[in-house]
Order: sequence, then structure tokens, then C-alpha cells
Amino acid sequence: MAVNTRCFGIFLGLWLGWISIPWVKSKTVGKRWPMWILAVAVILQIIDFSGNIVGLWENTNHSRAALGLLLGISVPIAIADLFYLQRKNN
Amino acid sequence: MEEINNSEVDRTISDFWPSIALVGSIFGVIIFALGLVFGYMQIQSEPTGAIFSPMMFSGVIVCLVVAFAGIMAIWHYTREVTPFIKLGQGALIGFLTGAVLVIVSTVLNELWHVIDPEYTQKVIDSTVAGLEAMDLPEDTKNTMIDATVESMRSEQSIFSQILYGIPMYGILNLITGLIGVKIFGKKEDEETF
Repeated sequence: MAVNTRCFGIFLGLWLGWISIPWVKSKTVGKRWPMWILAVAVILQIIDFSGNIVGLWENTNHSRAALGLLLGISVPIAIADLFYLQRKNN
Repeated sequence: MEEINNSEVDRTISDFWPSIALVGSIFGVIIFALGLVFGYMQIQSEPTGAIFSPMMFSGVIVCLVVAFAGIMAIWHYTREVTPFIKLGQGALIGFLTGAVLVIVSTVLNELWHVIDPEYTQKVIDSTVAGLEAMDLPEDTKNTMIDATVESMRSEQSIFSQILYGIPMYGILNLITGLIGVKIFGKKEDEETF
């Protein structure tokens, strides 16, 4: 399946995010910042695409790939803590 | 041997179906309607030669809207069935929601061709007119027109809509389903995925 640079960035980011879960887990469990990063990444995609459409700026392959990468990485990191057991305290 | 009580999380697929069917159907109708709106905008647009056409917006807007189906299905499930949901269950609900919405929108698209049999041809004609108005070398223009017409015709068959739609929107909603679990789901004190 052919993909554009933004999608390439997203897929690459998803892969990098998944393999980084064991390392980032300790920094994401119980924290809100990964969800904020995800929300910002989504909003940036919409702003970048809309700005290009209405002619405010012209995005490039590099900018599309970079923003896609950010979105792709932020998804697995946002849900990383769901992959780990939470032991009962008692 | 220690017995783990997973009664809250060991659900069968029949518990998921109401959320999958409801949200999948609603989003199927929404994307069908959006497709029609952009389709008729394309038909009524003047061929200005601009790179961006209503049909180009259609794909992006539909994709953005569809991405929320997985999250909404998880929201519905956690409200109506149980807030305790495993990551894998969220992925399954998301994927099946994507599959349902593709099937619903495909069926509605087919029904629309009964109401307006010329719809696809009018969209293709309008898109081709837009491409012809572009300031491009003749060879490039012809190649683009041929590729676009072929792509639009193949996208209209039920087989290709389902063949490409279910994996694409299924996986998209699988991912948003996982995000939905993170946002709306609650973990039991002790849980495996």
C-alpha cells in the first residue's frame, strides 16, 4: 500500500513508540503528560494540514514526516502503562 | 493455586456487540453523508485548476471523523456494560467498529446508486474537468487523469470498498480503541492483558 510522507512518519513513529515502551514505562505510569503530548500531536496535524490548505504556509515532506512521527510515537507512549500489571497492595 | 477473579473483565463478544453495532452504524451513516456532501460539492464546483478539490478534503475529513469511532465505542461500552476493560478487548471493539462502519457506509453507497445512478460518473467527470484545467504538461495531465479515473472506478466496487476499507479503518479504530481504553477504562487491582 502506497503511503505519503505523513503516513510514513506515523507508521515509523508507531513502530519506534512500541519498541520504546519498556524504557519509557517508568516515566509514563500514572502520569498525564503522555496524553497531553498525544493531544498536541493531533492538534498539530490539523493545524499543519489546515494551514497548508488555506495557503498560510506550504508544508514540506520533512515537516509532514516529522509531525507524523510525533503523532505515531505519542500513541504507544500514551497507552504504555496499560501493558503492565498493577499488583494489589494488600 | 491462587485463583484470580476476573469476572469483571472476562466478557464475551456478545457483550461488545451493542457498542460496536451502534457506534459503527452511526459513524457509517456519518461518513456516507460526508462522502455525499463532498461528492456533490465536487460535482457543482467549477474546474478552476486548483490542486485542492472537495474530493481531496473528503478523504482527510472522513479519516479524521472515523478515527473517533473507536474511542466512542469504548466510551459507550464503559458506560453501558462495565468500566473495566482490557487493552485487547478495546482493540477488538475498535477493529470491529471500524469493520461495521465500513460495511454500513458501503451498503448505503450502493443504495445511493439506485437513487442517483449517475452519481459516480458525475463525480469522475467533474474531477477530470478539474484536472484538465490544471496548468500542467499534457503528458503529466493525461497520466494523472487516467490514474484518477481508474482509481475512482475501482473504489466504487463493493469488493474493493470492503477489501481496503475494513483493514484501513479497522486498524485505525483499533488504535483509537486502545486510546479509548486509556481514557475511559478502569483497571482492576490486578489485571493481565
